[in-house]
Amino acid sequence: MNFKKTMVAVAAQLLLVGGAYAQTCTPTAGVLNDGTGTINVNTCSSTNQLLSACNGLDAIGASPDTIYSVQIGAAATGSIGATPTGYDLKLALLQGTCTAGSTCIRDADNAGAGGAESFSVAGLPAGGYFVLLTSFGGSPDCGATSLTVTPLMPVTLQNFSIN
Amino acid sequence: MKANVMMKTLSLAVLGLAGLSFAGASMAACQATWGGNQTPPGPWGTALQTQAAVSVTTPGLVSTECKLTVGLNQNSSPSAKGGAVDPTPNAEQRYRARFVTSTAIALTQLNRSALIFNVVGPNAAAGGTQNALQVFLIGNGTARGLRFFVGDTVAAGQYRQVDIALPNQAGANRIEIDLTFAAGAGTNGQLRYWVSDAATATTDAAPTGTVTGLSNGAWGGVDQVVLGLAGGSNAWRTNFTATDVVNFDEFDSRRQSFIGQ
Repeated sequence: MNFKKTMVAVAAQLLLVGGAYAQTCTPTAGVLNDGTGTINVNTCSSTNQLLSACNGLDAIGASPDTIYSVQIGAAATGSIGATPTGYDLKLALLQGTCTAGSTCIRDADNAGAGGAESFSVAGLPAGGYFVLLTSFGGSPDCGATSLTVTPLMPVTLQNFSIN
Repeated sequence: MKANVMMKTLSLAVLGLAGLSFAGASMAACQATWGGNQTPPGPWGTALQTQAAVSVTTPGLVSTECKLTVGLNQNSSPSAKGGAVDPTPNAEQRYRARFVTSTAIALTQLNRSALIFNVVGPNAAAGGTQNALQVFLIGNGTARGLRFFVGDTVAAGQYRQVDIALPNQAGANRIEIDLTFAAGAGTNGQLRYWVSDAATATTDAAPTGTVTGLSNGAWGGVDQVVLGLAGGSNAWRTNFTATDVVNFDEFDSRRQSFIGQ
């Protein structure tokens, strides 16, 4: 058995015995901030990262997961909203880490297919969060989506110069 | 890991006392409002409320002051949920929990089910979720019942299923679980469960049932649990309203010792 075959066999054994596959996610769609305004994204371009979400309670299955990171400041008052085209969007704000077990401290899924979803960030503790755009399946479970960030004031001062 | 350490005792009466200042002059010392997705008073981590009516009402289910009452909005989305998260477990290799629940919903149809207790591990089985154990309230065709899905990577669909009718159809039932995880790829994980009328005493030696031979090491233990109402089936969310409620009380969780009444 050559080296490559050996490694394949080892990998197969690892799969058979079952490794630790944390349902973690990464904000591959980028970063949202006060300057984001409105952006257009096709969520079908994203991959499926989570089979469930929101403390494992929401069985979102194989739907693509479009995930952004966002930093929310103390006493923020803004909002985040999205309007999907032709599919039923679930828009959620994950607190702390990006995993299937994270609490969705904001969870917008009121409208049906094509309906806009949004949530306010007022009252949230300052810190890092993840914005999840996904769906509970069905056909289609993704599509063109308009995402809008209403400024999450107060803005974190990144730099100041009197030059 | 210390033995016999109580992780959390969550009688809703405790919440009620913590929320006394919000109850005003009302007759009960129960918290008046729940507050969606905020940190509740008492030992709970996060209060969940999405497209659901959630309240703390009096009296409790077992001579207690208060209980948690949850109903999902009619025609709500699959995201609808109400309840509370206990984030204190930390990859527990043995986890015992008990709670009392009741519902007056005319729940008999097979297609009506909702999740009432979710046990989440730090890891997921390959190609699966982090849910190590889920307990659903279901209609079994003729009566109200429970459905346990316990993780087992060897089983079809990675879960083994147990159905049991609620012994006290119209009243309070006590549910206790004792979940042990196998090490690595071992197959000696085990679930013991007790489902009884809340007024009936139970003993550690006589569970209602036992599921042995579980290959559940992939979940890595217990990291958090959620008590409440979520994951309602389409038929549940279509046919029931926010006034079709499920009640919860007397939550307690431990690593080692039997809880019982």
